Amino acid sequence: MSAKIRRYNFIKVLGEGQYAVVYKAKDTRTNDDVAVKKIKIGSRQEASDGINLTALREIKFLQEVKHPNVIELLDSFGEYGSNSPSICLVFEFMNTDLENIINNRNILLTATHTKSYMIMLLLGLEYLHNNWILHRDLKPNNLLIDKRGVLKIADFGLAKFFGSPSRLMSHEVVTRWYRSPELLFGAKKYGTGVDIWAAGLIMAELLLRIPLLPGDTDLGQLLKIFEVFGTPTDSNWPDAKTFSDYIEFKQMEPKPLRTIFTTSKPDELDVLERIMQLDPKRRPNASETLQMEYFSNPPAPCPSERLPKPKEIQQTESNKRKLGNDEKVTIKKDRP
Amino acid sequence: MKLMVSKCGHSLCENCVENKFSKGVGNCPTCKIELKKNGFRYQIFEDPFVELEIDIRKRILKDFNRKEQDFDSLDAYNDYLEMVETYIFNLTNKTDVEETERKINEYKEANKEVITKNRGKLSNDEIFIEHLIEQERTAEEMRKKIYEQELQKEQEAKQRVKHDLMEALLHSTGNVNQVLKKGIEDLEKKRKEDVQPIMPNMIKREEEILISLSNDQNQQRLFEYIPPIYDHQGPSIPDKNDLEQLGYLDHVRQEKPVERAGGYTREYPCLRAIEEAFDMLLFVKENSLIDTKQGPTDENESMET
Repeated sequence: MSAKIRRYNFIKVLGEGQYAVVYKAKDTRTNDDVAVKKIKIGSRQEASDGINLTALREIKFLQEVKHPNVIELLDSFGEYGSNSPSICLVFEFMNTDLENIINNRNILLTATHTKSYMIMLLLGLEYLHNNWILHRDLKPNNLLIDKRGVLKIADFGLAKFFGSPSRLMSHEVVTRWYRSPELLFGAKKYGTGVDIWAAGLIMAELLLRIPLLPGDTDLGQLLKIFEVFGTPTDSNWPDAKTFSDYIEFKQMEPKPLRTIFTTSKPDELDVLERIMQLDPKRRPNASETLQMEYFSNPPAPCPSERLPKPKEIQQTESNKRKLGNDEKVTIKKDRP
Repeated sequence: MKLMVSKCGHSLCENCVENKFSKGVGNCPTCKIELKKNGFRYQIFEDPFVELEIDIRKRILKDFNRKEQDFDSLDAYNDYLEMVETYIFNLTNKTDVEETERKINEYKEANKEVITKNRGKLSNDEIFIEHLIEQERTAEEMRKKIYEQELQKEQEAKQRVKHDLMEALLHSTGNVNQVLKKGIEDLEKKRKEDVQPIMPNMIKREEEILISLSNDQNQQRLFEYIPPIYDHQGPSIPDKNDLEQLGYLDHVRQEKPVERAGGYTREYPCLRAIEEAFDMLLFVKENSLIDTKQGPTDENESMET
């Protein structure tokens, strides 16, 4: 075990989450940059209740999946010798995430970029769904981008197998802005529709550069959804009234999407319209979505290596050069 | 004397600006409007009226930033451009200023989202221009490289001729003058051969860039959906849409309305059960069984019975 820790040189802390700290590290064997997620277990007493469920889920699902658009777990090991025992998961190092790219005002996102990101997201999603895995926390922040521009689905802390006839599932999943109406109504049995809905909102965000439905509360979220897509009726969403948390809203008509996405072409609007339907049964699955005309129509999707990269990544190279020069200068000065 | 101009379109010389606006703020000597010192900039055009128009245009276009591709037809785009030009004309010529400002503010309110979205977006023309600049830069670099190479080649050739001449002089037994003359003739001949147009013709370049641009877009491969193949190492699994017809669904409980509304269908457990049952059964198809008789027959026999 200790040998494995020595294999990775920790460089700096990248971020700290609820139950884990993520470090940037260097794999001394391959000389690659990696990200190490160190999951705290706490003392023996704390750990006796079992380790955090999200950590277990992450390990459980990531060990089984392998796809170009899903993050890869390279290695995992335990560290129990020190006073804070922990589990370490080693991932490939990712340069940025989609949230960063959407929020970076210096980056220009064109129709070809949006198409490319959506294709990569849907291919990853198709793979997960075909393996009976629901991600349940899709959002731009969880879609990481590697140095070659490839998008990878990450963070399986809320993932779950679906398709069991008897098991009930929690409706309190997915970050609120990307949560589908059936979850907000308290559905305890659901399917791939929850991920597809989130994918639709991610596409909307790529086009608008701001979240389409930023609700403050669960009720506010439903209101925001219905303001755009109209209130549920017997024809657009049969049986919706049977939900345990169903609430009747003041009736609203759906807004034509072209008034929101003013620059989108008809084939693009068609995708948004179909994958963000109130009734989850009517939303196409990932494979069906990928077969829609929009994806095969010109303009062709931008190749991943030509997708935009945030300035910081490009600058690190030039910064290094600058630092190098400075060092040389000081050396010269020291000489008598 | 350097002239400076401010937003009101009246010019002042650099020294006057320094004196009159030493406190940072002051009034325009011509129209008495309140101005800031840092609002002044150097006048580029002789006519300050042009500068005024440039300022107003800059301000207006910041908000009127819709691009040609935002419009359904060329006519609609032209109408929009016409409107923008009218506003700019009105403001620069001080006609209907209040009415125009009101209209501009109305537009800004109505199109707030579009404006923020279009900010920083490049139109097709701008992308083309950026490409043009990039291509020009690379062409320039190429030319420089070629020139340097030519220069080096020429120098080498000169050296060689000189060397040859020396050799000839050293070894020949004939008249020195004759050898020299022949050497010079050789040099001339070589020079004539070498003089070739280094500069590629420049006229065609813009067309070439256009072609390369369109090629660029054509070359990028369109997306083609290829269904993923999963090797289950077992008998093939029925299609999701055939489950009902094949009778598999008869054995699965009908979903409740609330489950249906949530997006759960009984195809899920049915298909998952079939997948999990068939997985890793190491099923060998009958025709391949004939080919490979020594294969793992035990499992196959048990499967068939």
